[in-house]
Amino acid sequence: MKFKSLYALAFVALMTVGCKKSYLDINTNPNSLPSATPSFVLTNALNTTASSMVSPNEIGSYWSGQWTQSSSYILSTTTFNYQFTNGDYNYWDGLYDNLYDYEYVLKNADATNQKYFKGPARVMKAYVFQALSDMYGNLPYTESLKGVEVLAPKFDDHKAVYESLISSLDAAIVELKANPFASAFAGADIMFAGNTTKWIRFANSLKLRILMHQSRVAGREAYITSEINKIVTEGTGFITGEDVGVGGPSFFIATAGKLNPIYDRWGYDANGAVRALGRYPRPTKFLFDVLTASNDTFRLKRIAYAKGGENTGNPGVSAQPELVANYVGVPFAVSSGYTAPASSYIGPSLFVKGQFNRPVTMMTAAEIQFALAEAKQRFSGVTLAGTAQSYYEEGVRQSFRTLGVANATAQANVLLASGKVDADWAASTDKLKAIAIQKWLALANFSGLEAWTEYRKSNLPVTPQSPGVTTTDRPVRFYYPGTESGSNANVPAGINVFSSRLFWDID
Amino acid sequence: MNNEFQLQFKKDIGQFSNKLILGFSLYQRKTKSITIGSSSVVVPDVYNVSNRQGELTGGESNTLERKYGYYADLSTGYKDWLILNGTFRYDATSRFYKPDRPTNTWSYPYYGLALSFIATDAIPSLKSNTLNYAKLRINANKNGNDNLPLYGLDLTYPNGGGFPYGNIVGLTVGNTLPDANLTPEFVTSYEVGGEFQMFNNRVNLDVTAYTQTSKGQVITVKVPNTTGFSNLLINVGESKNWGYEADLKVQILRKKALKWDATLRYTYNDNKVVDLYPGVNQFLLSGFSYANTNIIKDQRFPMLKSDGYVYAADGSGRRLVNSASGYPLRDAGLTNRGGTLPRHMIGLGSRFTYKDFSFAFNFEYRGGNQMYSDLGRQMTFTGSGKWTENRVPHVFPNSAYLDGTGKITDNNVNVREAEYGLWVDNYRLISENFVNNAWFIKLRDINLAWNVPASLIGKTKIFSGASVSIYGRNLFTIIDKANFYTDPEFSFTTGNGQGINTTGQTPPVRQYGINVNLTF
Repeated sequence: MKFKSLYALAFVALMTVGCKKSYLDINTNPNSLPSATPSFVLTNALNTTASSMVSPNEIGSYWSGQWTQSSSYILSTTTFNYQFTNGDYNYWDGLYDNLYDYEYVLKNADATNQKYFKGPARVMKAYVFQALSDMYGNLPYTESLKGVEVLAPKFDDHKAVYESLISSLDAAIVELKANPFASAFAGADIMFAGNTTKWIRFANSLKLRILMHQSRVAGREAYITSEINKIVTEGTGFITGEDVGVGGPSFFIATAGKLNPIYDRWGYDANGAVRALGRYPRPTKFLFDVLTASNDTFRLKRIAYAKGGENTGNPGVSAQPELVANYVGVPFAVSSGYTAPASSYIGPSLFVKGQFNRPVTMMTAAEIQFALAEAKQRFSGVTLAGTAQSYYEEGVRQSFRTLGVANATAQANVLLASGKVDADWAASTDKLKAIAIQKWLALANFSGLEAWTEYRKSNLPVTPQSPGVTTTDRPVRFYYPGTESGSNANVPAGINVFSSRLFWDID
Repeated sequence: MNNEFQLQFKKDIGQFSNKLILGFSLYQRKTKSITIGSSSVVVPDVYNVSNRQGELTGGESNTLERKYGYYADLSTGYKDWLILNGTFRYDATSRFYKPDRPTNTWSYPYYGLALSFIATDAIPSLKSNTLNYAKLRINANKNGNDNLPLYGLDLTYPNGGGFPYGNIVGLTVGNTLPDANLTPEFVTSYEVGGEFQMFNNRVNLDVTAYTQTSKGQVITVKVPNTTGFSNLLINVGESKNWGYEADLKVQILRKKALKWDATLRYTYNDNKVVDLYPGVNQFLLSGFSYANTNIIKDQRFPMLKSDGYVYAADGSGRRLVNSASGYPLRDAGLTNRGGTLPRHMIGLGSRFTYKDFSFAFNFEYRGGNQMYSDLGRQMTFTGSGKWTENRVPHVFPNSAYLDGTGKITDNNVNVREAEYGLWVDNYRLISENFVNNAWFIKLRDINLAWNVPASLIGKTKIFSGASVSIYGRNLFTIIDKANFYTDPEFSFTTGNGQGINTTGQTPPVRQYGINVNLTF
């Protein structure tokens, strides 16, 4: 018995030793950071937005009639005969994931005393929500991004979302004015390097984009006019003379996975080897026809390479002589007759061998000039200083500049005085149509989703139907992805992608 | 590292024999893994990271987990035919530990009680040549599990895609959000059973019925990305699992040279989700947007769902088509197709022994569940599936359409493009086509062995025993005639994604072999 009590004593002693809570206090993940400062999250979020927009812009380029595919690939009936389902075009999941990173910056910037990140995060949230709503219409906005609090966010009306985005951008501008960047953290901003004035101009431009999408909706004139006049009163203005892009030479590096994502997708890999997928997208014959109708061959040769593509020994120049006859556009959605070598490649305005570190374009200056021209042309009450014509002509000049035409201003002025309809303002009887056509041209290669949005809004230009489609149906939106409808009972039912139009798409 | 400290006490009091074990256990597990690599080597066969092209890649993962527990185990036997066993255990685990979490979220008691009664010993008159041994048992148990992924309580902040870009760092908020109130899982189970030996021990029957209630099973579910996260780690409110098992062993022949045994086993198991999560009746677990597994309140779990045909509302089972193109319509909404875990399992095994030769085989049947094969979708795209062979204009079988007034009308419209569009753009996208009954019968193994007689072995003076056998495994499988795809036991992932297979799994293999066993 004596031994037993001794053991029992030892046992009790051991138990007390083991009892210490600190023994268990090792449950902190050593493999991933337990928290993240907003600066690092913002950098990644900006880069993710840029790369996430590549595919929506691609589809937009197709459905606005600017791009099609070569017949070196079997025709994608999903894209070109519009036989898509709720399993296709899921940009939703990735962009909402991206949005949460901006939400995180907004929530945590105060705690780390980095208030200057809040304005940019709010602007980018608006940018992504605008893009998402233009693809899907009504979507979760007020109840979204709340984690476990709301596991099935309700869907908000598209128009109400648009209005919320305008006020959210107003709030962002107030924040941007109040909180200049700490210079040590300006590098985290891979869009404007901490320049809050540029951020405010971008915010104003985004407001203008959102407002002018609604320009044909009945009863919106007063609202749009007053909101534009508020921008004028605010005074910082719009993006001018330069485009908005993410990344650039201080960011992208010549390593696999760290290149400009557009260059990486259709251009070249990190070692300069040609990407096979560059044989897929093709400028359309229709796009070429619009350009050549006004003898606009300077822009043509920047939008596309001649058939056979780039001369890899002489980057930026076509392998074939750059004669107009060698620029072969592919008729939209044809399934044969236009193999990759026999047709034009997407041109040097988008990729030149070795230029892996160009910024990814988020918005062009030209787009804003055309939006201003349309506002001035449509709404007599706007207090914008310029005339519709001056904005229109500046838009064309900016388009020449963005595309990289040599002597851009001079060449653009030649086109503007050419006497050609929908190029020369004076020669164009339907000014709104001229604005729409030139805007459509200016968006080519850079802002495919916007081009599709403008096409749906204005039905201009009148692009050819896919030969594989026997009806007049054109997609007016995407389906809500199956991933969302599988887990959120609030997803609206009965969506018809040919007739369930977005609110700004009136006809 | 595992430390056990035990104290055992034994004391007999009258007819009662008692045994008490007190114990303390300590567990620690530490892992470290570091990887470095590059995409290609410059000089073949020189495996050194300095002999590479491109950038060096690498990663590191460390884990540390600790647990401790106290336990007591008391057994009391009365005359060796009534045995009562009680256990109690108190565990604490680092997986659920945070300094600011309440004690009851990371430490937990659990216990069990088991009673067995050997009827043939208690009442000797029961014992006969017909009934040699009978034992009845009853168990009640509550068990605690810390089946949370390591460091599962923390939301993570991994590097964003491609980052770091040189010196520029980018982080993203992780996609799996842990519920703030995660607690360990408790499983309460009740079991009754009996074991009977009959006919001079030639027949042995073991039967059991059980029911289990699990509260707080930790699983990862999908949530809509509009929440900002794609996954949520939660405790399932409550799920039930019940079934019965019967195991029959028969010695059919027991001659000196010839012996023949057979075993028959039957198991039935079913489950149901009783309570899921506050305010939510279903979660998606795993799979594709068009076919996936789900956890749904008041249903079996995991539940397979997929999109499918639109059926005529007249109950005829006819599938609606587009009256212009003749193509079948697809209902993009997901419909329940059935549970993915087998309900019934039957095993049949037998062994013949004749002198030094023995021959054995095992069959198994499993059924009562559904499967989805993504391979079907791919084979429809490539046109290699036999079901796509009708490529001349035809009317989609067993179909109807709604005329302008919504009346169900017999379909006489040829499909627009039977050689391609029907299959690739329509049939392929209707996932119901690739949902099958997942039953199978398998010959799991077969074995023919020869034991080298001791008289021969003795002569070698080296070996003390030897046997030679030839075996075959998985020799044939009978599956549903509509299952053109693969072994229903194959899944693209383990766990809750079971029941969905893709082109990522290699086909099942048949194995033959020879075994030589030598004992020195």
